[in-house]
Amino acid sequence: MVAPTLDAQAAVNDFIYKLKRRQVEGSLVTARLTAVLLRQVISQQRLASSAPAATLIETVKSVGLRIIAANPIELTVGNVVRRVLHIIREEEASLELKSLADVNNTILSDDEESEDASSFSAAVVAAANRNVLRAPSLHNLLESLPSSVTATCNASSGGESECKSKSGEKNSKVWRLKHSVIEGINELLQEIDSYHAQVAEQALQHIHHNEVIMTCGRSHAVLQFLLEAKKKRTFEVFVAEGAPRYQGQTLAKELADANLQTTLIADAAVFALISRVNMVVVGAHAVMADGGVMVPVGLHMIALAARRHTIPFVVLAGLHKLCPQYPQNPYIFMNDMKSPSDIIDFSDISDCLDGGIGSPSLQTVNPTFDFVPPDLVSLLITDIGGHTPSYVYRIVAEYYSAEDFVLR
Amino acid sequence: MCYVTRTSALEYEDIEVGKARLIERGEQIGDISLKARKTIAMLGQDFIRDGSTILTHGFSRVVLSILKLAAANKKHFSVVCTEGRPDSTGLQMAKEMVAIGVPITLIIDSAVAYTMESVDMLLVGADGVVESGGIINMIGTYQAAMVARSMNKPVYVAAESYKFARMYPLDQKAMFPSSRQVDFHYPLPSAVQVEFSSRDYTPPQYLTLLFTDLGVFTPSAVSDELIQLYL
Repeated sequence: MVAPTLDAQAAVNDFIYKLKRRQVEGSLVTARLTAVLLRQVISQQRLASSAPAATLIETVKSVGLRIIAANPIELTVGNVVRRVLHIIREEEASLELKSLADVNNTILSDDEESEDASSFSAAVVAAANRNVLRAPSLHNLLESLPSSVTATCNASSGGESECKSKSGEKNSKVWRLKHSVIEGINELLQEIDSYHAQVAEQALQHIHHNEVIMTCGRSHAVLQFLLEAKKKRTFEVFVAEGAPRYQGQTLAKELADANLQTTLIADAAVFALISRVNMVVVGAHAVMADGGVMVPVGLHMIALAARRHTIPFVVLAGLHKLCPQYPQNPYIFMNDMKSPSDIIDFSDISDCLDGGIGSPSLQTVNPTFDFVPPDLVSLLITDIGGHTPSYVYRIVAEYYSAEDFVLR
Repeated sequence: MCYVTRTSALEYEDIEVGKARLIERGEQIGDISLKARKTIAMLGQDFIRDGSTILTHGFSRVVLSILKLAAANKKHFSVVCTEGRPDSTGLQMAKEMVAIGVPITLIIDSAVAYTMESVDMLLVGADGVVESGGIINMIGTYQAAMVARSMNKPVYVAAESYKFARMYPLDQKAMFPSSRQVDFHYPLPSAVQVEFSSRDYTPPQYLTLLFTDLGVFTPSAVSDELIQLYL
């Protein structure tokens, strides 16, 4: 395991401290801070000229495992770590391909070299090509690539550059890798910052005149979405208040301030009123790899009510919320049990807490999230467009590397 | 199902060398299969929680490896296994469960719907995974998956990646006739026709997830992986 430099260590420890004490809350803020931290770790990391990408990956993995462990419920931390790892792998692969093309070119141009050297390096290049570009396939399932070829490939590519005395070129290769990885992380940061705007842009495609939209609780993404649509459409909004935090009340006031016709209802009234609604739009805490979503508690019931009345259940989520994991036991492993004082005061129930059998007769449970399975979600609107839950695996394959799904 | 690969590595003049190469490739397939099963066991056992009951149909070595690893990781679960006519392979599964100390209940194939309300998931292997994301497995799998779906129980399939096949069956008759025949164990009048297929096709809408050595997939992801494999 490669440890980051001292400055980076201090920043990592500081971030872990904040995560553990829940001083960093909200997936957008967390994603941003994680990306900035990883960028700092990478830029300050000293890289050896042999296998620089592997060193970077090891460093990011070791830092990543620690910050994920600080708050396992906040899935965006793990998502951003995996995105950064994918960026490193991609940049390494594209630099490899470019350097292979360069070697090919130099072979063609260096005719004055001895015949042996050029033919040997051609074989090396071919072997390296096979190594880099080969994907698992049934045709070569039983063809084993002899390990000696790869060894000679590495040795002679080192020998090649030494005999051409281009050690400076290797250092520039390291610099290029770092530079392109940091550029990649900057793009990721830009994507995280602009996700609300990107999602809101698509509002006009989905909200039409004189429609009734329902939402629950308060999501920034939903707020922006509705305000953007308000600019060109007239519609009405039903807001379920979202007990026990009642943030729906705040959202209802914000929408009314923007001159949107809003109706505030209790969560229990959702089923009674949903037949009047054209579409349900909600924000998500996380999107799992099977297309299911982790949403604020109570939304699974609303999703079932929507399915019962065949009303589309639309979820807004940024790409940084996309998790490459499958929900194994989402109600328990990925749920945050908050303080029961949101539901009832301690003084009101303190007399029911001694059941005489060791555990209290009256228990209060306050989970934060609900898991909505993929067949209840009609559409996922992300910053790259609208997709069905069955398409999520494609997006995961594009933005994450399979080797990083389980971090060790 | 048969797995046929073509090799140019058999253009040897010496028959002994050719034979040795064939044996080597056979052993390699065995190794690949074992490694694949280990990966699938690691991925699959995460989905088994303490206190869960797993319904399985017939005998599958891949499913067995998942259950063995879950038991080795000290998870408390119980298994319900169908008898699996016509092969009665469920009896073999029951013996294996006893050997690893997992509580096992054996049911007749007709009792699948009866027991479905008390199980938490259906876990089966596959003889083949087809392009639509559906699977071909021992007869009775389609039935069990349909019942599981209607009762909202997840259906998990454990299959190695070399079982992926470029087939797209549109109905149950679209498969090759199976070599294993059904024996009713008592004499029938000659005019009685016997349905002797021992494999059925389960369409992808009844499946929840597939555990393969390439990772966990939803049925809709299978065709993408197939394209990669056959490139």
